[in-house]
Amino acid sequence: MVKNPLNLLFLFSFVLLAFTKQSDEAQIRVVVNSAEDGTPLPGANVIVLDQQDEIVTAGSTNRDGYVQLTHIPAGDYTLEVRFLGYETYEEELTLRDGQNLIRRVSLTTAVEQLDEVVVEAFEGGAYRQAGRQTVSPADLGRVPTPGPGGDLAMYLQSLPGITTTGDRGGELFVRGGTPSQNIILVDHIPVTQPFHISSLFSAFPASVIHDVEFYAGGFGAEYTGGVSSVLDITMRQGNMKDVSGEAAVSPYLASALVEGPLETDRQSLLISARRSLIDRFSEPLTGEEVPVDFYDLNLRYTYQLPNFTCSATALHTYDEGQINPLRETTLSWSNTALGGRCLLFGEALDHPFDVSIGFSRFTNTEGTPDQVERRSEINLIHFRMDRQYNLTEHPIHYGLRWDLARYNAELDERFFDFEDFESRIANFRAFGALEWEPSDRFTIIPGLTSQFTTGKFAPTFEPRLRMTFRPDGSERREFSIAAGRYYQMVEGISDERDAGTVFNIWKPMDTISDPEPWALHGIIGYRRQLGRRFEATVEGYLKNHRNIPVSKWTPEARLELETAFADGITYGADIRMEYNRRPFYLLLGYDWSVVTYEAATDDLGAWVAGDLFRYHPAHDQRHQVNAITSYDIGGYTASLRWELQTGLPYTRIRGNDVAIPIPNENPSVFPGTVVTIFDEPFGARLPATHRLDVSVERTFNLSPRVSLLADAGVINLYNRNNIFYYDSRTFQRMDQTPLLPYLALTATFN
Amino acid sequence: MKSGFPYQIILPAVFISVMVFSSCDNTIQPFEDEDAVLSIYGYFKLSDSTHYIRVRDINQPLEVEATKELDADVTLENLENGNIMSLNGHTELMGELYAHNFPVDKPVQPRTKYRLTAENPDGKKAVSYTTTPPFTQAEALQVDEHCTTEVEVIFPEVEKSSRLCTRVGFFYRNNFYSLGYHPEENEDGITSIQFEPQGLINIIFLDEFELCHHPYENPPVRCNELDEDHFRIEYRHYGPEWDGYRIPVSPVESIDVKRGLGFFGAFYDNLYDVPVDTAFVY
Repeated sequence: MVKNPLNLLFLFSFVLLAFTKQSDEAQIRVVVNSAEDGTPLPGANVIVLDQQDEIVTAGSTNRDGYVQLTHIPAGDYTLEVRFLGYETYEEELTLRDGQNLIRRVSLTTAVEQLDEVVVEAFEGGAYRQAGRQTVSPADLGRVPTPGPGGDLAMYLQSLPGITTTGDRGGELFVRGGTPSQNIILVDHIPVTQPFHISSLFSAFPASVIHDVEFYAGGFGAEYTGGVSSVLDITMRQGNMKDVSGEAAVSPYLASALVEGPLETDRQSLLISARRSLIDRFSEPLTGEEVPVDFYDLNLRYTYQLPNFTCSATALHTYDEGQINPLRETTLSWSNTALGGRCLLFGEALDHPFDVSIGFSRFTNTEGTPDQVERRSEINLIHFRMDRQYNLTEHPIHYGLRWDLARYNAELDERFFDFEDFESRIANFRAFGALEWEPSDRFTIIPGLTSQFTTGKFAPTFEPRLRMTFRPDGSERREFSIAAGRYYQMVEGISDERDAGTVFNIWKPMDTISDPEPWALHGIIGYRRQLGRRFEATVEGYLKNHRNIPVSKWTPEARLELETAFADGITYGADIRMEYNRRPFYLLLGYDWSVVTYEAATDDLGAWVAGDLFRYHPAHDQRHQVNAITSYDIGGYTASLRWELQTGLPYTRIRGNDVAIPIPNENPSVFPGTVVTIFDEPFGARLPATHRLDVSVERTFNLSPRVSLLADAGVINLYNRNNIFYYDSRTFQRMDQTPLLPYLALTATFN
Repeated sequence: MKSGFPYQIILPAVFISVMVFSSCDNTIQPFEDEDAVLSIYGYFKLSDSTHYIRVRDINQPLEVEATKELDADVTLENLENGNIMSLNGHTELMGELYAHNFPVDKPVQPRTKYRLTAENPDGKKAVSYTTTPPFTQAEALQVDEHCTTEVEVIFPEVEKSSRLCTRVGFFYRNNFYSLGYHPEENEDGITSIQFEPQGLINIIFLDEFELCHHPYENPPVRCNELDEDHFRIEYRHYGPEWDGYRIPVSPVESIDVKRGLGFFGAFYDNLYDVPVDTAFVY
């Protein structure tokens, strides 16, 4: 926390921007969508040409299909919209001074270029730049998933720098950060844990995703509230033209999706639902019980007029089950999110408005099958406003966030005292970022954000920076750096010694005694595209985390509200190579990283020598290799994914004791208190895990409007016994998913 | 379809990778069993005729069936005379697990050092030494004095005041009220406690606020209202291993049980009544 006069300057600038009127020159606001189904087309090039066909100004559409071109002198122009695979749109315009012209452009598919389009469409599918990656549904579909269609969870696990502690629990550790340090947004609504108890699935099938912005670090000023990573998901809007849908079933889950216009080109609805089936089919398929049950529901309603687009998003997920069937510990969690968002760009507005409001709830519990023993809940109302101001030709993005949150938890520990708490906080955030392109070789985005939480006396000071340098002026070769300072006002407390539970207590930082967790990120990246079919990226990164809440090392198996605080350093490097020449696709990734924590021995309660204890926590993944490949042949698509992860640290145990407080209790009558005696924290490493997943799929056209996609595959083809968990109480080992064959059928109508 | 270079390279590479990696080591050793293997909990109370010692294999799962058996030999050796006693355990379901208690039903001698050994079939031993205290006597230096006269009670056999734990109390309306007193070594180097009978009554029956209101002029309970004409000292004298009468249970290793966990100690406890002239009131 810095009491810095720059905060005041920042707030003053923000207010100034909000009331500043743009210049008297004309501007054009364009929304580009597909004429086929009405969905927005991000990345379309919008160009304004003068009478001599010289480019006056140009820009590309954002993830909403929107772009604003400003500072255009009055005159006659040609508006051109180009997007690979679509017919070019052209329109003659006459602009007056001060005019705000709005165009909603529908691009039609370029039939004569179809072959080329298909080839080109794979190129650079996942755009990477200094910790940032844009993910499309096509990327998700390349990873074999034991359910119908692709899923975000499986794809994320194939990215370098993302670690899971196994294939259960639904937790993602990103480049040294913990799951509670990730920011997850769904159509701007903050959600907490939208990953299922089987880590093979998230709440988001590929069929509901429009795109995903993923930042493994170095994220910009528009994101606040987390110190590790950002997963910003935009759901797909429903088809504005025709009703379509699909129904699917596999041994893992069943799903259904329906979408269509409520009013052609104006209102649409998309509804998706999935439910797990693996608890019914796991035993006959694998010989092992998988006692998990989960479902997810997604809904998106869209309403659009020429000068605004509004949408409502609803999400509900539920997970329940046992990560370790040997232990009678039942976990459950649920996300509910409901929100609305409007992008307003009417002629009367000097600047477009992007406003969102919503509510989200997260509940997680742990207990026996009959009784909940621990419970933690977050209820959050959020409001968000984003605007853009053009300073000459350089846009300034700025915005406000306002969260009202209630956190409560109840911990009814066996053998220990009952603990509970309830806390309400309000969090205000403001940010501004300048998108400055001094030449076609440089893009510099400095930003600043600040947050203020009730109970804290000073706002935070969080500068951010992202720079790219393109030596030859094109995106084929690009150096990029990203850096920033990040604060987090909420902590998620879990016992990371125990892989058998993912229960988290969520609470705001104690406003009096707790130091705020904060982090510094630094990332440097290089991207090189060779021809149209090969791309390689190399990144090096450093994350310096301060005041990470870590659970105390009590010998008794319990979780306490009071935490110790550790400092952490993560550094590493990764390389990704992507080759895409239809019918062949190959992605290779390697990541090396080191995660080190340091905490005061007394605070941690660790019984090790010295005042400070340095250790590598449970998510210190040293080496990770991923390979994804697919091949199209004779109407079939064969996909393969192989992953290798070196072993994660774990804590060996010296034994289980049943302690008696002598002489207050007599051994002849007192049963004792169970305590697990741990060895030096995280002093050993698990063996490496690796797994090969394969699938083959083919689409059969049953009629002009109905098709059937058959997807047959095997998870863990060579049946590797990858350890997930060792139960220190029962002394039994639990492995991850064994060889799991599946056949998924998806019927689609349109 | 002719696939060209990548197709032919990738499949053999995958096959080789599978062959190589599927055979790599996949075992873990989750236990640090170089050190402690057994835990010992118990104490010798000199005034008891039977003493119970709990022994547990800490490398056993915490499951009821797994705890049914304990494969360990437990012996008690009197280091003064060399007598070795082999203890027989009995198994009892206590709570959710079976417990193995080893009773010692032979008299335990004061001022004697004992060695308790629990040994598993691998030959790994957990050993604890304990020294019994003497039959400690208390002696009041003032008897039959008025309730406002300070009484000093000495414990000549106690070598260090930190090994003694005392409470002082009285009977009033068929209830016993008492308060812990911290022993100190007096000017002669003898462990003792001092208390004033009426002051003790006031502390027990008055709260802090009321103490401001002349308790000696208007005490809540006067000495002549007590059921008995004496004040009772409850005391416990711990053996030297129990210095400070704390519970020395380390999560990793006991400072008392070598190569094991838990604690095994000895103490003598007794009562001593100090006659007081309770009839006198002022």
